[in-house]
Amino acid sequence: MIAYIVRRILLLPLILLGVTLLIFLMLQLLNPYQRLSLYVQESSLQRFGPEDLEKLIEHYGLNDPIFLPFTFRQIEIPLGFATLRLGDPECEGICSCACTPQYFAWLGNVLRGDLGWSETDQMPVSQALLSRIPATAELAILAIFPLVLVGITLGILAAVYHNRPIDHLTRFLSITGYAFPTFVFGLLALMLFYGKLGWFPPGRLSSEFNELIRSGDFLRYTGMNTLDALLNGRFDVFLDALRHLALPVLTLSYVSWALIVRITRSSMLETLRQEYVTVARARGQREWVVIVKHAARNALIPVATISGLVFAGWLSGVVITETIFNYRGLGQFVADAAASLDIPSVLGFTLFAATLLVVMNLVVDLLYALIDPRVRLE
Amino acid sequence: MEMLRRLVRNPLSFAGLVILLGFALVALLAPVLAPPERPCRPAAAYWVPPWVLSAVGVEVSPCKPYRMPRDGFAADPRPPSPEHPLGTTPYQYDVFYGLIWGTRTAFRVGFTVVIAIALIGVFLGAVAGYAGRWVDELLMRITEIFLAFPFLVAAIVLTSILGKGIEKIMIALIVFGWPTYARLVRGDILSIKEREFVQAARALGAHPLRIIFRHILPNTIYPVFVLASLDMGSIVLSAAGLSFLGLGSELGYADWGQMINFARNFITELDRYWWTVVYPGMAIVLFVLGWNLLGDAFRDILDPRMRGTRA
Repeated sequence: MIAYIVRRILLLPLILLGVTLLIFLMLQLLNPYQRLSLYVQESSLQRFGPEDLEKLIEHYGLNDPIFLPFTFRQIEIPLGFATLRLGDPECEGICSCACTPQYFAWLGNVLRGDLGWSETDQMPVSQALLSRIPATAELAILAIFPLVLVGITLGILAAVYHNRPIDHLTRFLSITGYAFPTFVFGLLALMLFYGKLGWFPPGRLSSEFNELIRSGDFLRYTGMNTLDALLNGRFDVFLDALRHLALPVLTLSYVSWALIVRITRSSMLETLRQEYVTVARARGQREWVVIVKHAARNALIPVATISGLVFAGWLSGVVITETIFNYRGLGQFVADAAASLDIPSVLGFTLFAATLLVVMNLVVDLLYALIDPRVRLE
Repeated sequence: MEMLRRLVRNPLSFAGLVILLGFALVALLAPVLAPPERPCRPAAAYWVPPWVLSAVGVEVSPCKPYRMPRDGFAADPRPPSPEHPLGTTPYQYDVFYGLIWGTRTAFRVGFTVVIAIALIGVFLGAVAGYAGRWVDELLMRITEIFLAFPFLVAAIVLTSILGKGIEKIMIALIVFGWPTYARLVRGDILSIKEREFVQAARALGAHPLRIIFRHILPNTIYPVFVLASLDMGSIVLSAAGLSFLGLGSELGYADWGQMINFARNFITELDRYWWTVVYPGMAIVLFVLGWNLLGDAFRDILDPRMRGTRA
């Protein structure tokens, strides 16, 4: 058990190194000028003449063959849309380490937290990411509680009332939930609840409150609108923020609802068939005690493990959700950046998301091992 | 046959089958239902890839049936009319034409990507599971690296590097799509390779590749089918999602996601221009639903271990 934990934790940095290598490899499809924006701030690039650019490319070795521990003579792989150059042009046969500065220069920057300049937000990428984290965190936190509470309850109810109307209803909802693309769901929701009814507008706050929170009277403790509003004692701002959050929260989480309800239901069905549940009933336990204390506790173990999956889904989901609702968070940031080919911003978010996902998966796996004594780990 | 009978008998999978047959028919008859403005010649070019035609010596005139016809450049979408039975998108692309040819796009993206990732995944998974030791370790670590990226985010990175185009979406989805298959197959193989029939084959001196392909893979392939049929839906969803973000197909390419992307500019007036979202949206929902229903039924039929658990 301890060996497993240690092994997993030791592997973590290795995986992250792999992540940077993979990104770096993909970057080789760009031409050296495009890649330069990862090493030098775009705004200062504009001041340089063509000769300076050549010098910078030379300096960072952006034209050199990319890092491989053992390089061969150079091979060029035409991919139709670009050429991937591997290996060393000045090498016959197998040559030893041809480490060029470009990977390590980039990796060094990344490790120092320097992710380049974001054209999208006109500030360094790392700063842009930090400034947008609270909005997305707020969205995710507000989405997780109803999901867990109501989703699990629905799943348990569906299993207990197996093949009754509520079961059919949840099954129907979860099957259609999977098929509904986030962007169609979101746009239809916006069409109905904003276009027709005018209840839930897009954005993060109404314009009058937007001005208020920028003014000095409103203290930004966390960057999350709802929490800050409560801490400032402004209940009107709080309600306004909630009004803007309702649809994004629903849109982000409904796919996970389908997943959670479905897994809870099938796991609960399985558990209710176990003999120990029959025994508990035979001992004269009240039915809800049997369901909640005996069955649900074991049935929820697989539900805990898919939380990693849900989390990964949300990292992708926020991109589309925030774009639809014009919600200024990480997802909208990366969507805007990608649309305007702002590569440093896209990569910055990707590194951030991948790191988060890897760490999250590790935590989930370890928790799983702790919750479920049946899991034997090699 | 037995499988088909069961697919038809279950109302859910029957519904899925009907939906998909409908889409297949639309895709097949696209040139008849929505003839392009400049027809392709010879007409066979609609159904047979041009490189096959030129290989057998038929001359193909260049034509672009996937490009949606455009009726003007006005930003405001026009409602359904005799001329445009389902209305026009913003910037006047015909919705009906886009829906019909978008069906072909969806099938093309789905089949190409799913077949490719299943082949790559099964191959790597089989090698890792059978070879074991450091090969397994290495391949699984690589798989983990690919899995470290949230799928859509990874696809966004690659498409923003590669540029626009339906082929580039496919490449991006293939590059990051295979690890699930590799993991699935590897796990199954690990549990099967120590079984008696495999040991018997090994004792008889069969070549490792023969053991993998003749004895082990046929026993692990069903879960791959299940995953693949479910993935047909989700891959098309991801492709549409990329198009929705504006990272997908070229402007004017018949693609459901892009049609919805156009509607984004009218977010505040969507209730007035409902047809720009509702029609392509329903097409995606039905397409994905069809594959999901079928995939669920496959799972119940092909994998006896799972039978009954989902009742």
